[in-house]
Amino acid sequence: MFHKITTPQGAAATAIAAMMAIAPTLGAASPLSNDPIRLVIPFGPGGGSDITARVLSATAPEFCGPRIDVVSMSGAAGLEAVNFVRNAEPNGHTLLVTDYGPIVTSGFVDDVDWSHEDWQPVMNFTEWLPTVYTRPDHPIQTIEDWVEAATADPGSITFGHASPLGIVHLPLVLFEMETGLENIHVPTSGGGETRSLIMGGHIDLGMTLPASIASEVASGELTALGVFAAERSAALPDTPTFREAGYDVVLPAWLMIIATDEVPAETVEYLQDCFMEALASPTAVAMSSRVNAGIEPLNAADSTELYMATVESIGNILREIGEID
Amino acid sequence: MLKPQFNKLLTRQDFYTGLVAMSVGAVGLLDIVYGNWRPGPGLGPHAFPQLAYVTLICAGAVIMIEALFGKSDEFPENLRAIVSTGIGLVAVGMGMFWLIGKLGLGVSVVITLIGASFLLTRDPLKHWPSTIVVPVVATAVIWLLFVKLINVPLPRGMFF
Amino acid sequence: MLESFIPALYLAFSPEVIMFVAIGVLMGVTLGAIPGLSGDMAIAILLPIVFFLEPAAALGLLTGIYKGGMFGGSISAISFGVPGTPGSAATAIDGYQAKLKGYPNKALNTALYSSVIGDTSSDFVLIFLALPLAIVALTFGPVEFFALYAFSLLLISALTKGKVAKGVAMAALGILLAMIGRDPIGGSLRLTFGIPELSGGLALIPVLVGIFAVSELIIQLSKAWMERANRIMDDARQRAESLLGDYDASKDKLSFAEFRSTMKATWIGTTMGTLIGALPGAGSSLAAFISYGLAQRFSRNRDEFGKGSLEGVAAAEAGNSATSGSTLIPLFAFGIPGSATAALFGAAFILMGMTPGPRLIYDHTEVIYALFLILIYANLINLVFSHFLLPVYSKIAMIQSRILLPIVCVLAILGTFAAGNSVIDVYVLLFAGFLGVVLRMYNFPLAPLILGFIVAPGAERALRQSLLIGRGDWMHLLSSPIAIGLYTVAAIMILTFTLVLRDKK
Repeated sequence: MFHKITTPQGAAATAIAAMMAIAPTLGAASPLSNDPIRLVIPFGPGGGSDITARVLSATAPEFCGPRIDVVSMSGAAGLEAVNFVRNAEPNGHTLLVTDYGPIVTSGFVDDVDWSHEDWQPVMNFTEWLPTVYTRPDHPIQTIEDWVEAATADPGSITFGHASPLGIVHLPLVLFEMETGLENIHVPTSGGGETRSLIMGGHIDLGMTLPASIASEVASGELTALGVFAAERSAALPDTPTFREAGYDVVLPAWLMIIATDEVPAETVEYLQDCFMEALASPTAVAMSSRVNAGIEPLNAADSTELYMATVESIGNILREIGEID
Repeated sequence: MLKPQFNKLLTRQDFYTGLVAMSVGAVGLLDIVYGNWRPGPGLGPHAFPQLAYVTLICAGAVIMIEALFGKSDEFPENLRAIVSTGIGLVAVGMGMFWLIGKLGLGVSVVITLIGASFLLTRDPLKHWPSTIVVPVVATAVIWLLFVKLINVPLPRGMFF
Repeated sequence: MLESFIPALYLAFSPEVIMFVAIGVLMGVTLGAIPGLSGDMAIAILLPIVFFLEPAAALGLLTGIYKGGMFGGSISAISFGVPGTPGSAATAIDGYQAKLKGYPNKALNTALYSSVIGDTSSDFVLIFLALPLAIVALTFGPVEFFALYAFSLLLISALTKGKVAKGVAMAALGILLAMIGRDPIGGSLRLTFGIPELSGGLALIPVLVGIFAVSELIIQLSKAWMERANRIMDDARQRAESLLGDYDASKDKLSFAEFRSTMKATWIGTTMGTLIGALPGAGSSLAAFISYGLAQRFSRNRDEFGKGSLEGVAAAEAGNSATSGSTLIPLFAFGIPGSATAALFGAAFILMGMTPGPRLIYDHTEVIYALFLILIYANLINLVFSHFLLPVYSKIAMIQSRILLPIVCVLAILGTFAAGNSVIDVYVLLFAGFLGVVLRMYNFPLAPLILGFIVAPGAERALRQSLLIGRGDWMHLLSSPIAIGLYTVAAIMILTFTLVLRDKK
């Protein structure tokens, strides 16, 4: 566990030290300067990516050197954050923390002046497993119930999801492509709205990420139908995967730290090493389990492989549904 | 009978504001009919803009009819001075932002503030406490707040 | 339950926690007063503090910032006509007129008292009525939300007396501005004029601060400039070497009779703010505008509204602040963050290892009870601090414009940038300011435009979601008693008020 401070002076001093940390003097090995590292997230503050990035920003300065700030830039549907990182000096001090939406999907469907090859992953935090859920008094309680109901009366089940083509919508699209089922897609403003529509009985099903419903599922206030992943989610051990039910639909959403390809290889390697070291520290592990972030870091090489695989699979889905040529 | 009514109408300001509102609505509707709008689920993306354009046309028509019956707001006073100040402020604001990328936040803000108070004060040098000291102090506070405390991701300049 | 109340009492009133609440309130009031910067932003920046502080102290700091920021927004709204936060836009309408008439202190005090009354009542509702109200909030689906949005649009655009046509035109323009960007249902781009930066739409803060504030600043600047160029500054002011010109603070005190006259408006604002705050996604600016509209409807001095009415200030500010407790209701009852602020508090809970939701109060009884106590007494701290600070603020408001205006402009630009870390926002701010000037010059009311802008995205989403859920059947919009009730009230209000207005003529 990490330290807790009870005296006000000590607390204030630590807080100030954390906010304005004076970077420790580093050995000649570090390719970084004393300027802060900015982890730019293309979403508003308070969400899952923000919380995960903050675990890193709280633990990594000790290992990397400079202080780490999490900066939220949700402008232009996240493209502003991407452009900010793209246009920053390529010295490894400005990094993007994102799921595949603003970079892989946007790279296909939006009019951007970069391509997927212009980026290199530094590391991967975690893989989020999109999960279908509903309220416990709803007639549909399992994947089989859903398929049965949708087959009996096609286009009768309302399905809530955050923004179109996002990480909790594409799995549904893929599932319908595989099975030929039809549902009514009801886009919402985000996870909170989806959840209140489900709990209020306005829609039938919805999709979200395990961490945000885990405790309600455990206490029986929500039912998780299934997970679009190869393995069950650690946060929802009793929820089957769609693969177990016989539908091979797997579309996890990673959360990666990404740099532009102009950042020198040794800087990326240095960042990867110190980030991974920080996340393996007892403080970070405790923090990660406390905030339910499920951090399981992947190094740059593995992340790159995952990134390229995602570019290909998302490209296929988008081509299939006619979003791109 | 209608003719003098009509002549007077052309001098009334709200005849023209109504006309502008109607034409914005009309252009918008044309864009929806002929422009490149993709269909979408549940009414499609054009439904709400269409509603707004129609409302705009109706409101514009009412404004014009009201002007016909003599109900009109006055011509604006000092229009030219105020509009040119507006253009000036937009230009200065964008200029300051560009300058921040070149010179840094502190220098750009102090230049802007001193420049503005010199423009707005008669005998600026005689009133130096308010035209020079206040801007410098204000800049120091702004710099502390935005750069040191909030650490906004502004483009870095040469100085502060 | 009671056995954990005593430790919670010790926790909430430990000197450390009180100190952090006080620091928070001071920070919140100061940051909220800067246009663009809000309590939300400060909370987002300070979120990592929960790693370093005891939960009660960290929550105390965040609560203090939130409450201070809620009220701080009204300071610049009244002083410069520049809403410091989105919630205080409605406060600016009458508050700034009051300042122009030379009584900023009265308006600021009205705002403070109504804000504290609204906030405190809303906190009590959160503590004692969270669950029943949350269940009511859940019955609000797309159908009910659309009715609510339609109701508020009708209420406000008909509000601009004598200028109904212009008000409606402005509401339409506001809706159009909100349509820029990505279609929330289909995902295609619209009205971006080929500019990729507009694909995310226009953000609320730059549009709001631009239309209301920058336009006002431009007009003031041009007056200051003309004063200088034409040497029309009157001698009295020229002679007064003091920074303050001819402002007489001793005449600007809120009397008890005046305070009492605003009570009805305050309670209207408190009720509406608490109810609307509890609805996920509706927001404090909508609450403020609806409260303002209703208070005007039910006021005996309806004609004073828009001309510096203290009732207008009280209704708007109470409506704005009364969302602050109730916005946490969906978070506490179901773990649903109903607003940006609630999302940040939710993140703070998660970072402290507490999962927001119904289990929260059972699993962490002491801390949550302490938070409830903090919510209440933070209002008191806010009241005391602000009471001593207000005379200073009202003097600042009266500093000669040639010195003050440039500083406020720079703050508005930098604050707007910092709110979203977005360069586009700065351009939107400046152009919205220019648009605001043109509209003001041609006597278009600005409040309907802002309301249209705030309401349109939610209204569109709700309407199209309703039609999707109802398989394209328009009758589905009338499938809910709440929706029918709202439409009926709107119809009755419009009918009676058009009749009442006609009688008066």
